[in-house]
Amino acid sequence: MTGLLRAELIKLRTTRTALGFALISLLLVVTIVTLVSLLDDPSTTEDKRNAIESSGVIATILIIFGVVGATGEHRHGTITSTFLIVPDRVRATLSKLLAYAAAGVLFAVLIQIVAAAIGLTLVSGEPGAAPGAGDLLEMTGLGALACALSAALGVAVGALIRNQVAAVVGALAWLFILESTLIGLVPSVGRFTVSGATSSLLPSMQIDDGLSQVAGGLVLLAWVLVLSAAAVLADRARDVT
Amino acid sequence: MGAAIEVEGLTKRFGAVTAIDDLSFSVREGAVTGFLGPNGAGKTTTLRIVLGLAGATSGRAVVQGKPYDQLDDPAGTVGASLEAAGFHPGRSGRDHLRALCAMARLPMSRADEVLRIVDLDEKAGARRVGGYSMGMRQRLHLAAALLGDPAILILDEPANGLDPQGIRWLRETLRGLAKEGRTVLVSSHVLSEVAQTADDVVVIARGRLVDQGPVERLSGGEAAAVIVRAGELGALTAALEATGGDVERNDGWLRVRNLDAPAIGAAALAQGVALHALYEERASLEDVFLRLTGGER
Repeated sequence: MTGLLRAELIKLRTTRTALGFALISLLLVVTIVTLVSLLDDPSTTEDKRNAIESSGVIATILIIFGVVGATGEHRHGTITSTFLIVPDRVRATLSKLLAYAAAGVLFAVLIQIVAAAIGLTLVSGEPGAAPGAGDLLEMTGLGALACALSAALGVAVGALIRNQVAAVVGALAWLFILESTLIGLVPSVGRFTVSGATSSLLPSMQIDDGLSQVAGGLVLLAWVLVLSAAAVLADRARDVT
Repeated sequence: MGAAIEVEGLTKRFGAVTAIDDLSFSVREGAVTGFLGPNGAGKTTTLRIVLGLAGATSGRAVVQGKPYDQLDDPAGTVGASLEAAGFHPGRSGRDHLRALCAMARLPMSRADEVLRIVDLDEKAGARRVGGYSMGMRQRLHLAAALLGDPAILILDEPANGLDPQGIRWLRETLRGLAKEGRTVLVSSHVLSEVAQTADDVVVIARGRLVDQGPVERLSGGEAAAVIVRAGELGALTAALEATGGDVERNDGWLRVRNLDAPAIGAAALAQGVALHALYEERASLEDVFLRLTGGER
């Protein structure tokens, strides 16, 4: 398993895909944090914390990152080499989930540090105390958890739906059309969606009728487990070209 | 020596299409076996089932007596190069191999070793695979197959896309690998590519076994006829017919059946006829292959 995990990390490091996703995330977060800090006049500690929180933005990007990573194996045919060396497909899928979860943590922490550095500098002139170290640590930790689960979720979706275009388009449609509609119209159901659970987990993104933080984390984890199990079960019956 | 690979009653259906139909054959340990058949005969599908990438509808395929997914050390037992196995275009050949090294728990230095074996230099190894030529990709495939120093190599159409130089390189490399005592199963739709290297052949067409055995078996055995060129054919024809030969007379030459070359030479000597040429006509490997596989290419 450690060998497989190491292989996945080598794969992540040796193409420009991860770097590209990191740059897109960074650009987006810097833009949003700058705009919110300058235009929203955050005047309480809570406002300031919410202004610099970055994981809510990049969680979705990390889902797509996971989808692209997992479907890329099929798109480029590299999955064949993997299964030749490791015929146990459960282990192969699990190691990818873990590697992407680790990458998600790294993304979340690094980008949160940048977001906090920019945001706190910009809002320093506003009234109200800046969030304390404990606040920042909690925010970063929860963000890292959300991002780890999101990246793993993407891998599970990509392992289940092997076609890259279908998986990316499907995931985006699911998240932005289906889930947004549910959260808006039927919040009691919507809070159990991926977006609903992620929002519940992150302090800055609370939705109406949201779940508790613990429940949000567990629901998100359940999504990962159910989709991974579905992918592994489907793989048993599926051939690899 | 035992069988390195055994396929028994293998059948694979895709919906209504039967790609492999009750196929059985075995691959001798330490031999180079050519796996031949026209395009679409089911060669790749068979290899994918042997390698555990696809499931069989019925029947079984084992490597060293075990299904592929039950091998203790797959990379150290079998090295495979399949066309469908690909590379990320943005990753260097060397990094691709290093990821596989990690997976197979091999030292990273093994990646550079196999690159040297397949004649890809450091510069080529460091390049992104997206910029590789077909020949370089085939070499990288072979390098990946050799990573675990396996006893068995399964190569699917390794000559595809190679230029004549590349094909010669491949032939020499395969010969070298076989000399090291490895079992090699190499598929091809072009007989001449493997005829010079293979000890055995397995020929399939439309998913069924057509022939299996030593490569000489395909070469048609006994000479089919003897071709004779001589200055004066009239007397020689009569003499050959008198000794039981079936002579077909052509402009300046004869095709003789039922008599072998020494007998014809002796008859010519007895008649005082000067022979210009005397040679056996055999069905070529290509002819036999085409006949066996129903003339499809």
